Amino acid sequence: MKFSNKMAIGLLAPALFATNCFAQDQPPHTGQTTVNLFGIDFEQSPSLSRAQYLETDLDGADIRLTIIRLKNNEEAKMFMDDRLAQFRSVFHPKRVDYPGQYSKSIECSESFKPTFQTVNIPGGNFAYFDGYANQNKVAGACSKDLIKYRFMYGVAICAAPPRIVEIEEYVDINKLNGNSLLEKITCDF
Amino acid sequence: MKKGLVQSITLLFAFAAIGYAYGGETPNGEKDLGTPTKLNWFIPDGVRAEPDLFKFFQWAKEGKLPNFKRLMDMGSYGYSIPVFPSHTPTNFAALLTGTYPIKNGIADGPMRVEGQTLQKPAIGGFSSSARMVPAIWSEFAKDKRVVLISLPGSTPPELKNNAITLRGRWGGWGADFNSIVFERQSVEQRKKLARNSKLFFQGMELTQYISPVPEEDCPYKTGDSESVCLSLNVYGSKIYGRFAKSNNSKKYDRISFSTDGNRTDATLTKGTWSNWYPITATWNGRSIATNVKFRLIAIGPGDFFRIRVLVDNLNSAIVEPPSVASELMADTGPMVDFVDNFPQQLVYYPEDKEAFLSESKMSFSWHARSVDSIYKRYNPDIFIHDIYSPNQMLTSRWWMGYIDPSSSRYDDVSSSERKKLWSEVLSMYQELDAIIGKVIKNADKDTLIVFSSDHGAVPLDQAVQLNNLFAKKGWINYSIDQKTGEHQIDWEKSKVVFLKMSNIYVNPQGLGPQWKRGEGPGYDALRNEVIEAISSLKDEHGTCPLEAAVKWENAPDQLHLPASRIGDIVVVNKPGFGWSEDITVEQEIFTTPIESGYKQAIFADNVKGLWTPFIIAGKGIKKNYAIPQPIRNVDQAPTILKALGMKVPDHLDGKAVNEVFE
Repeated sequence: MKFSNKMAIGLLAPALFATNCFAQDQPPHTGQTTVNLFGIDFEQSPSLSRAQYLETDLDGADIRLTIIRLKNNEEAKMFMDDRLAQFRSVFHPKRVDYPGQYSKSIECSESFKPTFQTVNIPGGNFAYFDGYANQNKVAGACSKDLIKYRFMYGVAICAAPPRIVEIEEYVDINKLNGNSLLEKITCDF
Repeated sequence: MKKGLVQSITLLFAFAAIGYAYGGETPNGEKDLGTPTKLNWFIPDGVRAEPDLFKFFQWAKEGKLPNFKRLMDMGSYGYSIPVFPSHTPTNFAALLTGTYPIKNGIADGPMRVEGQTLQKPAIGGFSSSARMVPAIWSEFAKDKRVVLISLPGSTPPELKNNAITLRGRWGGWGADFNSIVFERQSVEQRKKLARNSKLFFQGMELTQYISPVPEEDCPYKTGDSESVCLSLNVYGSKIYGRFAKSNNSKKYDRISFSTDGNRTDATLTKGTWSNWYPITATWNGRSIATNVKFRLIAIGPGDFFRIRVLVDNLNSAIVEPPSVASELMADTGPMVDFVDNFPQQLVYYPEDKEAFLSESKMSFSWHARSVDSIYKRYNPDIFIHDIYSPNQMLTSRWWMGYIDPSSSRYDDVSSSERKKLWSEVLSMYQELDAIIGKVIKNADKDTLIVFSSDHGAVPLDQAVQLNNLFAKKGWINYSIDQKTGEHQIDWEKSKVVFLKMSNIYVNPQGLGPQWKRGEGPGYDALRNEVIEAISSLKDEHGTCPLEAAVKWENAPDQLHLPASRIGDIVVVNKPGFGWSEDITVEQEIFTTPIESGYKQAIFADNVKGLWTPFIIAGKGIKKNYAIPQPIRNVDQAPTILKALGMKVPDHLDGKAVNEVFE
């Protein structure tokens, strides 16, 4: 049988179709855009929830923001209080995983617990903890050898429109960070 | 000529394209080539698998576990050996990081640290904040959607954007409500069971002993003013109960429940569950909307009662992001993460066993539904999932001691009773099989499916109360609290103490107020005395419980443990024995615990009962390949990373199991 160009195309087309159908990867969950907030450029990453997730490096400080828009100020206040309670729970005395007669509760030593403050910011207020984080950027590092970062976690509540901005800032424990993110936080966005 | 060349190239390209589209095998049997880009890793806790008794792969081949059989056909399979100490936090850390405790810092559950008091552990091994190296999900965080369910070491959450972290077990983060047993208060019973019932001194007790409420104080009226009224405090929410009779009965044989003190929500006879009812629970001053479900375990004689209250384990304060709680709940209903508690509560009455089995079913059922829901709603690239219930069964009172011939309790049951127990254990494995079926159904051709576990379980015959030994030797100074009956250690005057799970602290100068590691000839002499004392212990059969006593300076080499996270001596027990912290009035060394299975502080290499199954299936993995020699838990992460075509970080201790790759 003579093989013609038409036959070749006839064979190629379904092959390409099959390739496209069966070998195509799932759409990747990536995609970033740049957002300027507080005078700082942030990269926006995909989010599973209605929150907007932003991240940047500012002079060696790893800064992460989560912005959530809420229905009203009451909902925003409740959300803020819940998030602060969740953070605090890390430092509360809690049950030992394998309890025994002398192994009953675990509690972070006072010297490793974060301090807590609230400050006014333009358009709202900001409640935050200053403490430490471990190598994996998790709060609750309760021994010297676990601490790798100074860690600021806070929640800003903004009224118009009702929004919550969760802010995490990680600075290498051995570095001095000259820029204060605190001075830049504002609800004017 | 040119025409012919073009035709040949076109033909070649066509066939190559067809081959690419259809070549290779995938988890669902579709042919494809290349590297998986997704992962589903199901790591249920406490799944024993070995060639001699828990013949997991044999059961699968016999048709008892059809989905596992399918997975084995699609991939490679074998056994895996846990790290020491052979329990959950160390082995989840080993699995999820590919490193030993000496590197990842998770040497145990409760960990003491030099310079801090020994009265309380300073670091919890189930918390992500205790881990010194990244977990495997950190490799994926940048460009993949990650879902983590019930994983030890996953909370406080490390991932925020494009990720879900749901209820990391005992991570100490979020509103974690434990289920509770309520029982008629009786002085004798409480004394006997008190230690096991306490969550800890500040928290909600796992079993609460309560008395009936006087009629004048009972808002819940059912028309029978003589019936017993109960008030159950469930995390600040009051649930009322009222004894009731059936129409033809003269005695009280049921309890009516009300969640608002007014209407009757459910009337339960012995051995029945209610539906779920909404309540508002209090947590750290916050109101958390949740759900409860009750079971009447036992009623009578007289005004005796035993009630199990399950609290929905899913709420917005234990998930990141919080919005996932309501989304998942819409598909799965309230969550029963795992059966019973730790320490186990459903071990004291014969009726507890049926309560355990029915609660276990609920737990498996929720986890199976969660697989469908997670894939439907979130389409994860990486889904790593744990369920604790297998461990709960195999370390409970009711099974291990009577099905494993190495147990001292083996002959306490008849062979027909043992057959029934085995069928219950197999049913539990079949629940896992059903979940794997869901995984296979939801996985696509790009998904690498991995099934493994942290450790197995073996019979527990005797608890060894080492602190009684040390008290007899005069090494522990203690007093008895007249109110509570608790033995209070004077840490400054005590020189030797055993603390969970496998650590002895020694200092001739005293162990308080802050622990400082001893040194010098006096310290060495005391350590040697301690080792000699334990080595001389013999139970009634003349068996010494000690497998090995390793001094802290040798523990990094011999046990892969970090010196900064262990005591002065690490004690390894033989299977069948478990170390206990208890000091008792009677000062007995050996006691028979109520639980008949466990897994702690054993060298697992030669104790096959602690081995676990490992199955890996996906593109590039050999099909129906039995890995001849057991691997180690630290080898799993590098194997998975290699299978996903990713670089294996240099710091990993484990090695990829190359023989599974095509």
